[in-house]
Amino acid sequence: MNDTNRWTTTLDIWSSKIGEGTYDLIFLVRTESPAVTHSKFVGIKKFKQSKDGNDISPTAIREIMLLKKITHENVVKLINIHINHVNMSLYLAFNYVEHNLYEIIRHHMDKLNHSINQYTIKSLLWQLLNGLSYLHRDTNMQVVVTIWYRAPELLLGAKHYTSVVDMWAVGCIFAQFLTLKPLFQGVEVKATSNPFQLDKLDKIFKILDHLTLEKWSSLASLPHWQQDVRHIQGHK
Amino acid sequence: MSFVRNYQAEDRSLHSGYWSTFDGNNYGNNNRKRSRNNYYNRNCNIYNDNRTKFGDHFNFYNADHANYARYDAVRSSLKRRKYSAPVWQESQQYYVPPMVHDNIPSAYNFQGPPTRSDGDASTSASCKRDCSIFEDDKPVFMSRDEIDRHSPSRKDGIDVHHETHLRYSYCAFLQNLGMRLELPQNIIGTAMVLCHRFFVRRSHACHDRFLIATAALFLTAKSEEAPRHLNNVLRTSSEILYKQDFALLSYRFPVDWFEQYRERVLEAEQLILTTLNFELNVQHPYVPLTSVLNKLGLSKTVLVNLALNLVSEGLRSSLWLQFKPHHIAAGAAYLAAKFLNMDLAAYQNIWQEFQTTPSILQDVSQQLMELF
Repeated sequence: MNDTNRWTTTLDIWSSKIGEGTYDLIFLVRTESPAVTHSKFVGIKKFKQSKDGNDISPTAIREIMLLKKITHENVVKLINIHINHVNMSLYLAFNYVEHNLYEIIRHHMDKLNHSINQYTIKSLLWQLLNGLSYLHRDTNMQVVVTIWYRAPELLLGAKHYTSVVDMWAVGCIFAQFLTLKPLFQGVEVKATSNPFQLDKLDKIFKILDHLTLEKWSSLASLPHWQQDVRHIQGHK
Repeated sequence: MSFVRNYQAEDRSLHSGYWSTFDGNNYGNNNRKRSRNNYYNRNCNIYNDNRTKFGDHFNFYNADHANYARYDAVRSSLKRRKYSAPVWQESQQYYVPPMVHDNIPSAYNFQGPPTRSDGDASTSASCKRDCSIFEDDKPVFMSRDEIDRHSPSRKDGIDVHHETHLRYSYCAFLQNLGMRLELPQNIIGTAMVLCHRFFVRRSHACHDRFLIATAALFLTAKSEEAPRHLNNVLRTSSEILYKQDFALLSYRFPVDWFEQYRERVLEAEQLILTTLNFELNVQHPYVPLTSVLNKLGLSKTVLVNLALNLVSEGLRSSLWLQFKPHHIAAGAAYLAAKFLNMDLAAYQNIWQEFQTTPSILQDVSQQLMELF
């Protein structure tokens, strides 16, 4: 834990913020720790304070529980956890991974101005599927994804779903590797906790045709299909 | 405050309740701002200093609290003390005395040893020894003998019999609290197991078990995606501990008692996380039990119900620290069958299905029997 103490004090003195999510900030920190195998850099995720007060957020707890279970070459490795008892901040230290898929796609689009080599796509897709396969098999976990990659059942308000939603996301990413553009780039509605994403569904329908009960019998049980069927069919 | 003063003076029995999480020293200070960090640097032997300091104001008594503890022999030096008269400091603030609950120093102001990450020279020897042989990352299964002999509480004079009753008491408390918060049984069970794991690493003498239990349930509910609002958890737990409506408690304690309790629980939540190294995954025997008995065509039988009840009873033992879920399931099925005069051996390969051995069966069922 001493390493993390050093990292967390370093955050304010020497570090660079390399990302920000809904619940967290990501910093890049240099370290000499023997625990870090591949790199002299560590990615430190600092969780934002929970809305309810000073307790540790359920999101952070769930993430830690899952990450502690996971040991796989295609899943980023959690190497340390630290709680700063003074301000109740929670820090997770990961082996630093230099690039993400978004950066690779951007690089090909902006700098190289040509599509990704098919062998690279094959390799990236294999790594993605290998990691997902492990998560589904060993942790029984679904990976909740950003709206561009969200499966129709999620967009239609399904409360119970399986790992097939991740396969939809993989398909969307595969298409993006090939074209360098998101396949279904809908505009996200953020009005309520689970709003109806009509624009996003419309993008899917334009490419894959409209949904019907004949094609998909369990549609009738999905909340937004029941409530918004007229809107959906009105977009035909 | 005068109302509180009169109320206290008239009703001496008021303090037979339990509020071990107060730091009496805080109430004399004008400056209420307290660094959360100092919790990690306190010494569990402060109890002794305060006993000397405030000794004149106490007399002995041996009342039982909320039916959460039932045991007899106690060392006289550790008997519970009752506050005999109000003590007034210059600030005219009412002072809540340190309470010793269930005959052991329960660290009324929650003086925990430092966590593994924050070692501190001021920590007492006994609390420094707390984590002794249980430093592993993952919950390792231990023998009953190891648990009994190497528990940190042993070094603080708490024997096996005594610790067993302390375990029963926080489990009864958790069951009550969980039900009142309408939490499912598996979450309540997980909180119990987390408390068991905590107390094989930390001494009961240094940690208030009801505070740890409250924090454990709050934490488990979050980890199992059934979070309960912290204030609800605090209100309910204080009502259970005092057997009194929450609205009345504000008359008994200083103005900021609830905020202080809140801080203590949040500190306890962190202590649990660091002590257990964030290992919050607990597997229960319910699934292997029902699936194996299902396979053998024994679903929806009295046997299943009895075995499930035995598993639930077993939660207050240390079985979850000793055996894998399917072993506990097998022991519960074996004992249930014995009660019902059924011969499970007639079902071919039943113990292979449970992946267990006769010695494990015997051990688990024996320990389950001891609970009755």
